[in-house]
Amino acid sequence: MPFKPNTMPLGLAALGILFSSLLLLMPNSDDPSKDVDGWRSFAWKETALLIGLAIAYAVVLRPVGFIVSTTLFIILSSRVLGETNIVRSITTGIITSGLIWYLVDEVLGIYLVAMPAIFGGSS
Amino acid sequence: MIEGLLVGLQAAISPFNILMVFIGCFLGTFIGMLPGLGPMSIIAIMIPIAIQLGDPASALILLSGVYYGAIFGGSTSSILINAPGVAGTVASSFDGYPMARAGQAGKALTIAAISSFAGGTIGAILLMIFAPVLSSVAKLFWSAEYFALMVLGLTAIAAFAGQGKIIKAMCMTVFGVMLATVGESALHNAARFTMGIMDLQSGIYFVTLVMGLFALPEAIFLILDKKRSQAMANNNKIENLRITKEEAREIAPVIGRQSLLGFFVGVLPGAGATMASFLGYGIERNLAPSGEREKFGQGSIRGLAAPETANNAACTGSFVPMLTLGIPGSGTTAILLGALVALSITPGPRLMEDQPEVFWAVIISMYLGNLVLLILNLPLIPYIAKLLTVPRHYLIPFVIFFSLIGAYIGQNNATELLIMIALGCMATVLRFGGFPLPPMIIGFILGGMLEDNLGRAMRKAGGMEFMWERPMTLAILVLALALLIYPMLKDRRRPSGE
Repeated sequence: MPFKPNTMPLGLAALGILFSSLLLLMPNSDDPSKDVDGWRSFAWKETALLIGLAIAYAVVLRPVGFIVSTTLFIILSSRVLGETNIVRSITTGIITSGLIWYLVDEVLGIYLVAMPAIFGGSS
Repeated sequence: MIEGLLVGLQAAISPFNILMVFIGCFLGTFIGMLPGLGPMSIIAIMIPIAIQLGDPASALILLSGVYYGAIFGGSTSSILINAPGVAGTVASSFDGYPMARAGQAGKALTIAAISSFAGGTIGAILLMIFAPVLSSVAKLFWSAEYFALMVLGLTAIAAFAGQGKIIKAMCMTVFGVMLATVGESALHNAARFTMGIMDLQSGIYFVTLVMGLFALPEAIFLILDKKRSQAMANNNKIENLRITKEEAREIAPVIGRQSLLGFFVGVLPGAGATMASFLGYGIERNLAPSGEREKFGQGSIRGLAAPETANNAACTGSFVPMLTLGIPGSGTTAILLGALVALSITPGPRLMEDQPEVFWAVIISMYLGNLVLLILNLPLIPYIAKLLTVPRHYLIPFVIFFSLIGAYIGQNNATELLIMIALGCMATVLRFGGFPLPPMIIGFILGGMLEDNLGRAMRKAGGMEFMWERPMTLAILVLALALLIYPMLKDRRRPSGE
């Protein structure tokens, strides 16, 4: 039997079918995850907003540049989670993004687009 | 041997070299704490600086400090924020993170530091004794045995599963190996499961997956369960830095066993720190008395000491094939091999005879790296653990931000971030369903090597015959099957609904 690119995926599919069937057929003895307790009181809205912010961050990181997008991400997400002091969140955002950019780009030499293209950054 | 040690000491000990090891450890620890920057990338970044030093002994000492520092830094982030930056420290988060959440962050970091020190130092002693002998054993292993060894590593996850979860764990393992088949395989040029996305051509990036499965769901759960995370914020005192006599007595045999096991697993090329830490964790869980076994995964000091010791001992063990055969056993040693070649040193069977001072300087640099790390980090632990006192509304954005940026700087690719967020949401749902996630990551890590070795073995044998024709392969595979079936049978005999 020759070894082809699909040998492993086929074998895995067979194992996947086997274990999934066993999961369905065998009596389920484990207790459900403790994390589920009290899920009604979970902060679903905050979670959805934070995931939305993370997606937005991923999308704008390159075009807008690291410093602006990171500062905005930290300001907005800390506000969503209950930070009331706007000055503190802006300061934290600017210091974190500046410091990490300096460490990654300047010290370690890993290129990170800092600014939007119109301010001299390139993507 | 004593003569060799003296030669190494002569080459290694000077005020300048001691300064180098301090700088290396310090930089390694702090950069290693950033998720996504593992020892491999940090050493790669430091190589130009090390080569600038000119002297091979100084260069090796700097790199060794960086190496051990980065491993400890990685453990720190996996213990404090459940964000293991490298595969080798994933197992440390299983018990380290629950300890940190229970207000024992300082103690967890102390145990990690001491276990790492012991594992690394005992590993270095073993390296000195066994290097010549072990290289001949490693030569006996072919792709067929490596394949069997990977299968054994995968079935050992039964140890993580806990009662009644073995099938769920196996489902997750298979899923993890499936994820590893995305992209081109090493033996073929055919792209698989890329769904037309160019960025998937080279497969899913390890850091993306690990952040998506561990750090991101943790952040999501912290947001979801507001009450729990607020209670946790009040529980972040870093008291209890000291280990009691009873605790020391409890972890001493674990450290002894895991130093040996970790070292020997590390010697096998490709196995390395990750497999050693998972195997070590599994074995200690099975050896623990029944009352203690339930504590595994909830903040057991044995569960933390085992992977930390095995991880460091294996890192030392992985130097054996590199120094004696010139074959790098892991990604990190491959990079170190590159550094040695750049310094006009050719590692291989003749190294010990031709350039004994270099061989022994490597060993001395390991002792120094481990010792300095302990001296440097024990007093720093209270400050490192203060990371946890960051308020919830900043801690969560930071965890999300560091996870995202860790995946981004590794690949410089924004698609990676979207994949990671999708994986994070999926992992959260799986956690709700009670599916254990560590087996998935082990499946992913070993999956690539598994396919590679299976392919080579099948090509050589012309089919699957190697599995029963090679006695050593057959023996390892039978052991793997037994490891899987035994807990399943034990589960069935036990009344359900525990």
